[in-house]
Amino acid sequence: MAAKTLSVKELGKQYVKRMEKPILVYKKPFLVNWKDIFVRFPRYCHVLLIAPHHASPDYTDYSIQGADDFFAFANSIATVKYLRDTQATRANVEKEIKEFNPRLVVHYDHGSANAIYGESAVNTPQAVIDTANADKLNLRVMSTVSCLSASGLGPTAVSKGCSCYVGYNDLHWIITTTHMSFWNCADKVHKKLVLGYSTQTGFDAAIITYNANIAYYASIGDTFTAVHLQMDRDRLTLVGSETATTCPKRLEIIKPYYELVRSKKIPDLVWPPQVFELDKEIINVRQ
Amino acid sequence: MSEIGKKYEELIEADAKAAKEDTLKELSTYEKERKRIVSGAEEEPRAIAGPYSYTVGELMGQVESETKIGRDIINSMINLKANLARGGE
Repeated sequence: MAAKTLSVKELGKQYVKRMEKPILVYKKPFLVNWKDIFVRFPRYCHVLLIAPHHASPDYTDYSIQGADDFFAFANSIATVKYLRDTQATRANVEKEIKEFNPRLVVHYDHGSANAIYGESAVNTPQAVIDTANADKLNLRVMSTVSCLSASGLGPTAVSKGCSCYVGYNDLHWIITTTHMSFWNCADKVHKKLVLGYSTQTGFDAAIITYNANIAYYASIGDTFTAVHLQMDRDRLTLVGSETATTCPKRLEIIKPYYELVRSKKIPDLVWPPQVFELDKEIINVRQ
Repeated sequence: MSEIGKKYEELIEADAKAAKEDTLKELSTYEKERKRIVSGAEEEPRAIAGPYSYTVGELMGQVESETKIGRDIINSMINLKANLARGGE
């Protein structure tokens, strides 16, 4: 039997149908076995998280909360070694970099042009990575939320073999009453890396989140927060490889199902993403 | 200095003065309206970076005396207004 030849009108109808298809097409959820998920997506990414807490009142009163928030996110999908508070000494950091061998090092604390700080035995800031031991970051990605270090230590570390260094090239400001917004913007870099995205993707996601937060705070009249977010956004710096990754790309489960799955309210339901979270954000911005 | 050079200097000075006054005005408006904007917050918000910690009033002092931090704030306020004027980046 001869194949039916479509008329021009029918072809035109199909064309219009294709054009009218929405950008975001979600499939129906399907049942999966959680064991399969963990077999398919083992915890490849080894993360060393450094977050000291010095004597109050201090910037670290707030930065440690940002680090805890990132730990809650990353610990469910990556293997995380958390050097918190008094554990974040130079000796411990050097030991864990050697033995735990992390692909990604994340840091929340004070920084200076040529060092990032941790904690000494007497609860005072102590340089944990500086120009003297920057070669320990060889073949690793470093993401830090601290002042200044991307201006000096970043290029030094990259020249000594660090794949990529993301940080701030001037003071990193926070506002005490709205500090979680500052961490939510800054941690987009390492959250994307834990999910298997490249450093450039993480950097772009952070800028998008900064822009959204700046617009929000300006719209409610909180210029104090908006101005400081804007300064941080302009100081976020990426040195080294833009395509560096720390693990293979994972599926991101689209919110709100993500939270339900995490809290095990729907333990055997996975929502297959057609569009990753970041792609959605980019589409929204372009629209 | 030539006549054009002098004129140019004057224009830059006038712009810088306007930007500083605008920043001070925005911050003082925020300070007045703070209780409405961040309702529920018991403590006064502070901007913290490294060893620095300022309330809005103290930061206005930095802007007034044109320290490095004060100039950074003025610069950021100019950029913020420019971005919002064209609908955000």
